[in-house]
Amino acid sequence: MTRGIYRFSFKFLSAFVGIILLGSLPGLFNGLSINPAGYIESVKGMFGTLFTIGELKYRAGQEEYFLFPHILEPLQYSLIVLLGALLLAFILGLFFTFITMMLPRKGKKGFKLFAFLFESLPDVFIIALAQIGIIWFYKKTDILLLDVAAYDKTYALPILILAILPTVFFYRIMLLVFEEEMQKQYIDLAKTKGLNRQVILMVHVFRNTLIGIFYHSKSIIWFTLSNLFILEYVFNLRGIVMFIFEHPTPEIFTISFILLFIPLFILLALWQLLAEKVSKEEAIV
Amino acid sequence: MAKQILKNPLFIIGFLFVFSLFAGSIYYQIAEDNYLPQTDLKYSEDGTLEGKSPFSPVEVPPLGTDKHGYHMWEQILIGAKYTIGLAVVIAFLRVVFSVLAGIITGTYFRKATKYLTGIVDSMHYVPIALLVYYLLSSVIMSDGMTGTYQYTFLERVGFQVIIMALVAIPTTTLLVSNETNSIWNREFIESARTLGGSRFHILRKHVMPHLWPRLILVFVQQIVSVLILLLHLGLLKLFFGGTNVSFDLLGTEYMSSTYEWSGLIGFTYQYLAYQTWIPLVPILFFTVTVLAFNLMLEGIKVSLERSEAVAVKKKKKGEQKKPKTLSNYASEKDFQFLSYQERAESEDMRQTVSSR
Repeated sequence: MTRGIYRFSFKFLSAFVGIILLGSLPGLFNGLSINPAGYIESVKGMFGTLFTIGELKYRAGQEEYFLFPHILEPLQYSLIVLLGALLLAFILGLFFTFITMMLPRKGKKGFKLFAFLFESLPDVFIIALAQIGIIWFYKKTDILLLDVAAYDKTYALPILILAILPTVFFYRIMLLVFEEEMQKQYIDLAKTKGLNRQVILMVHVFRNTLIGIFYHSKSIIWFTLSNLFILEYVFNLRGIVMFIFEHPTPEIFTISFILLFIPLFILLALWQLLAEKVSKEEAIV
Repeated sequence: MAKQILKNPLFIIGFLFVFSLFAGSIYYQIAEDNYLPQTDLKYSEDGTLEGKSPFSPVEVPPLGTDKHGYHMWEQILIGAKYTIGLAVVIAFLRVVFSVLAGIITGTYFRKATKYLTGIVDSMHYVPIALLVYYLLSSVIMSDGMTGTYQYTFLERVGFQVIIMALVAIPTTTLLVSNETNSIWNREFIESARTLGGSRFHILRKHVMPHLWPRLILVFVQQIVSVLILLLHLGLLKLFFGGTNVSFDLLGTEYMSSTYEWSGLIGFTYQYLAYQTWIPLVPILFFTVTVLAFNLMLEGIKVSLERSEAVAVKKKKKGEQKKPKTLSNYASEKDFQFLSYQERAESEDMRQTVSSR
């Protein structure tokens, strides 16, 4: 247990420091020349601002507002969309994987190729297609699914669009680790004992591959985060990433990303503990 | 290995696409001097006006025109060399610096990388396009008061290239460093050490041959990543190639003056609803180019796996074949004949060794 706490707190602290180092980067440049002393100063200053976080302000139009609690609203919105999309993508990916695993070998090959091609598509392309789809639907039925100019928050459609690419990523990864797991000997044993394929897949294979899926889910989360940025920009959603984009000062940049990082870190840690517990293996990260 | 890659159909398809686009773009500059046809008004055969620009791909094949009647396909063709060239150059810069740093840290500072991992990991939580925007906007952008740029065009482009290379170097360095580290942990390195090879010698003779193929993969991956970054920056209206400003009733409009692809997206994206093809054409070309590079990547991966499998097979076959060649027969010189006494002694020794 203490080992676990040490493991996570070390990772947390180093990533925390990393974000501060990253957010202070503008101090490194003095015009186009490099200024290391100025960088050290701005890192120090950034640590200082963390202690006076309540006094920070940002400009919007002519007015100045306090950063807290104003920043929490876009943060909450972004987190709901992000986590909703990730959860949906995980479930859909798992679902498609089960279906594919039931197929004969030839069918599988086609699905794999499709997933590979789909995965290569840039997020901007997918989002542009979604936008064209929404416009087409509006022209046909007069129902506007997502109003770009609206101020009220919509959840369903952004989650759906954001989930498209992570679904394909999860699907590719799950298919890979599932197939690897199916080669193992205990599967043959289970088959000879007369367990049917569904039970083997859903109970044994799924349980034992969780840790393999965990290893890849980190990079999927990172990718989805960058996807979220483009989504918020294109659809003019009032999320945290757009907030940073509109106020790109070192303080807001750093604090927003720390705020975004903390829940994602906790989520990953919980996910890691769950995967370790279920598959009875310790993740080497 | 190189032969294997060049024979792979996936690699060939991807490579042919990118190469013909790039070569075509350069040829167009040399042969046609980047001639950009314009169709702003269109008349039917009896001379009546049919319409004014923009024309859709159906009206003016193959890809339609933009608002001012300039043909999209020629714009794409002219811009291709800049976009593909930029992606390759930036990816190359990223890989060169990352490989130098990665091999050094992966060989000489293997413990320190463990601590660096956590710090570098945090970079993944920041979308790379936003990071580039953040750095550029705080350093290079004009201040809002005067709306002018402080720096010359070349300075700005140079700085942007450096920033785009720089933002990926920490993560790529860590990747290369981990790859290097994993090769150092293999068994055959242990034997090379036992035989007395110095660290530099082992690095050169035993680690690098295994590292090169991985580095090719990293390079192509980085090209894809730069292309996607360019696409994002285009969407954010930060692009290369300078800007042509045109004043319009609807406000100021910026166009890329070199027709670099990301510049073709930025200010036309708002037309997605009405003249879908204008932003969609450059996005589509980005998509297909990314796809082509991914095909090359997959082709390299497949042939690497295959060549490794073949290498193992060859070794096995070679072992079986050996006795058939004449030179491999043992000659009398190869043996040291022992007297009975010596033989007894050596057998004694063997027994004591085995009993231990």
